Amino acid sequence: MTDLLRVRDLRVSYASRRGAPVQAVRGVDLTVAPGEVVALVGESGSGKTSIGRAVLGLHRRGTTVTGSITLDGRELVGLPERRRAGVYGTAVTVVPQDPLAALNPLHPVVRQVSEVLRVHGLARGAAARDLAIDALRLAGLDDAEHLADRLPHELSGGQRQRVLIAMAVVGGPRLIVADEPTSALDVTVQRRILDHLDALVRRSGTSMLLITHDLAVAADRADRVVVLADGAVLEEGPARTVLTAPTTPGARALVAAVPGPSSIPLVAPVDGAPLLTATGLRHVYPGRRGTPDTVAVDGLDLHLPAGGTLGVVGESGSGKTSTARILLGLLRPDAGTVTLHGPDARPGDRAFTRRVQPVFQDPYSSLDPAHPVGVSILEPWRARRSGGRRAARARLGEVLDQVRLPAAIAARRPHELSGGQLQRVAIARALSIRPDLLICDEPVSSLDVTVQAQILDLLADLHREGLAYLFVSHDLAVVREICARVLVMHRGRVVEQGETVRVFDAPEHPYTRELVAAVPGRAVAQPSSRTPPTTSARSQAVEAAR
Amino acid sequence: MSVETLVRRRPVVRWAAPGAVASVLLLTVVVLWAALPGLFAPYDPVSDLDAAHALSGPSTQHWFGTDLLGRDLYSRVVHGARLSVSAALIAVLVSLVIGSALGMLAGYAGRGVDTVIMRATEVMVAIPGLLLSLAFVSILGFGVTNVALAVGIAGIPSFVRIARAETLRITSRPYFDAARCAGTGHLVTLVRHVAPNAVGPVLVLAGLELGGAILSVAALSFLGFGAVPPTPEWGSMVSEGRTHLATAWWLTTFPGAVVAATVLATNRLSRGVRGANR
Repeated sequence: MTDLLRVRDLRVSYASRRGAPVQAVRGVDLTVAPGEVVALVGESGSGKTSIGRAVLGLHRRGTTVTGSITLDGRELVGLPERRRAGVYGTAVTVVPQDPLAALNPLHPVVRQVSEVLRVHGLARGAAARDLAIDALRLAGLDDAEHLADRLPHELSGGQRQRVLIAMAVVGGPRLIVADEPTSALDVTVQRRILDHLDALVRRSGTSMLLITHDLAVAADRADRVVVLADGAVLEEGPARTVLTAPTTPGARALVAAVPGPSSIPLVAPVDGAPLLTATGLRHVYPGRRGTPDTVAVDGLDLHLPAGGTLGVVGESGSGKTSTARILLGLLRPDAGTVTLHGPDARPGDRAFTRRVQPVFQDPYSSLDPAHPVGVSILEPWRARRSGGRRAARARLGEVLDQVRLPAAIAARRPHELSGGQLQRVAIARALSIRPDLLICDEPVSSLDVTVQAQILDLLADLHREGLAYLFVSHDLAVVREICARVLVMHRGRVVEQGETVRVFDAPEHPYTRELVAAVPGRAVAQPSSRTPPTTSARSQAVEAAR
Repeated sequence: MSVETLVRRRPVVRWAAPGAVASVLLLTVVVLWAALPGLFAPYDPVSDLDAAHALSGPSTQHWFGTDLLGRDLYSRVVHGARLSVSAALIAVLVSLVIGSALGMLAGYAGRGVDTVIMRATEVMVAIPGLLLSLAFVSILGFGVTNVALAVGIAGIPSFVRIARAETLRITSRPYFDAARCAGTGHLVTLVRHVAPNAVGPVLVLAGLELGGAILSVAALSFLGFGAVPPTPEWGSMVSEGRTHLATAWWLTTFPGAVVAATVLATNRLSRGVRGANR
């Protein structure tokens, strides 16, 4: 079988403002056969997007691409501008990551789809419109005729992604490059869209290069997987082989770091004295100028024992972040009470924050860029003036040790640290006053999987030392690993709660069932053969790979 | 995400641009004039009367020519820098301190406080700045200090706006929430987290306003509200030379050109810094 796409010794480098150019891709070989779906996986900085852009012929200024990329024997590297139209948009198309940024906000979506046909002279006028509507329907946009004349902002994220898929398929491409096509979407939407893209590609015999950081998605959707690290191919082969029995240490660490849909939890349920109780929480965001009010949290009850672990899962808009903010005292509920047992305290009080501390989602913005991280870590400690300078320095050393960071890091500024280090710093800050409870709002969702694994291990260790945490996340696999109990939110309400393993393995509520079914990674899930991911073993695998 | 943040957090100022280099040189000279006028001026600006060469054009002896009384114009421009530049600095300082404080308060307190401060600011914005300065200087009385204060007060609204916008941006960041959860008090949070992160854009604005302030101070002095003769000041020098425009062009041209060049140089530099800050 001759390959459709053949990449040989591809090297991509970006000019940097100071010093030598940055080598993003260092000699990658890659093939995609007709009708084949190949996934490029790797962490941020592994070069997967650079390869995708090179295949698409998209180069920013200062980019050097060498090597060879051939499509059906036709060389694409150095293709003259006037010949591009013969390839891109028809033979090779893209499904980009951010559906809102990729659509022109001023044009109805049908026009953006039919533009592909008009530009390439495939159809014009009413015929182009009809074909575009067909493509939208094919891409799974229900009621395509009706929605065709809407502007992008009038559609939901999932609908917008379908428009982009329609744009990619309308010209009858040979190869689709999908760059993180569903990373911005909720799991249930992600599943539907990937199902659809899958079916579309298989039916028409189109090839697909799927770029993703999500190994589970790759496992479910790809025939072959290419694992990248530092701009080079680490390992490649059939999806099942690579993702169940990786041979290189780097790939093994990457696979080990991914929490599977049936992994065994790192934490056990706790039957402690009650620590935090919330009853009847309700919060409404008033609508502006005619838009209806949004009920973010609608009569939520919640209970967490001392030293317990509780996951709060739900899709975007389910009210989980609002709940976390209410519990932290950052958002005043319209109704309901939050009770912290023990010394009497209400959210927002100093006595309350002395015992309840936050960890936020984006580590890059949760530390003040104006101060060295040591100052940020000690902020809760200083706010309570507990002890002098020497005591503060001693405490700083202790918490840095606790989150396994070197003491020297205290003098660094946030921009000098990596995302994983920053999240550890944020946890150290929360720990500095020895709280009873951490409220973590998506603390690992902006981190690479290996870093995510380290942070999760850290949280599990802290739990073993008696810390309770409430863990808000959209990622069910993560919650399964580190929360003994879970609470499923949907439109501001709790639809189901209980022990995590029970809820995920035998969901009762239809919504939970849908949510659980949508979690990617079933293709390689083998609970029996997989050993429980003990903290040390996994961290060692990750460390070994470094 | 990380690439974007890195780029944003590590601004590279392109000092090599020829316009920027010229601006830096020019401002250095003006600042040195203001700081050590005796070092640069060959004559005394007030008492060195050279009656023989009164109203003579530029020459090697008198670079910018002489005025009606035979005083060396270049020496007067050099000495005038001290008054003009310090008045402009005072004006910007007044706008910056009062404006930033009000803006941060409006952004931080929100609700009623915000409404009152912002509506008052909008009222001030509705009146042309120079007119507002004129009104204030009429109330405060004549003199360079009062001119500086009046120009400063008229410049408050732009600082209120930018400080408020920055405060709103910062208070929506997670590190602000973290500070609230840490139990840090409001005042400490303002000083420790809001002010340091708002300072960049505010200082860029201060640079831009400095040029405008030099111009406004000169304009008010030109109108006769500022420095009293024989004290040298750029605006009043232009004003004094006005009556001899037909016969002695240098009397107005040189002080005016120095004002224009200084204003352009400060604008060029603040624009460069703002570009790098983006």
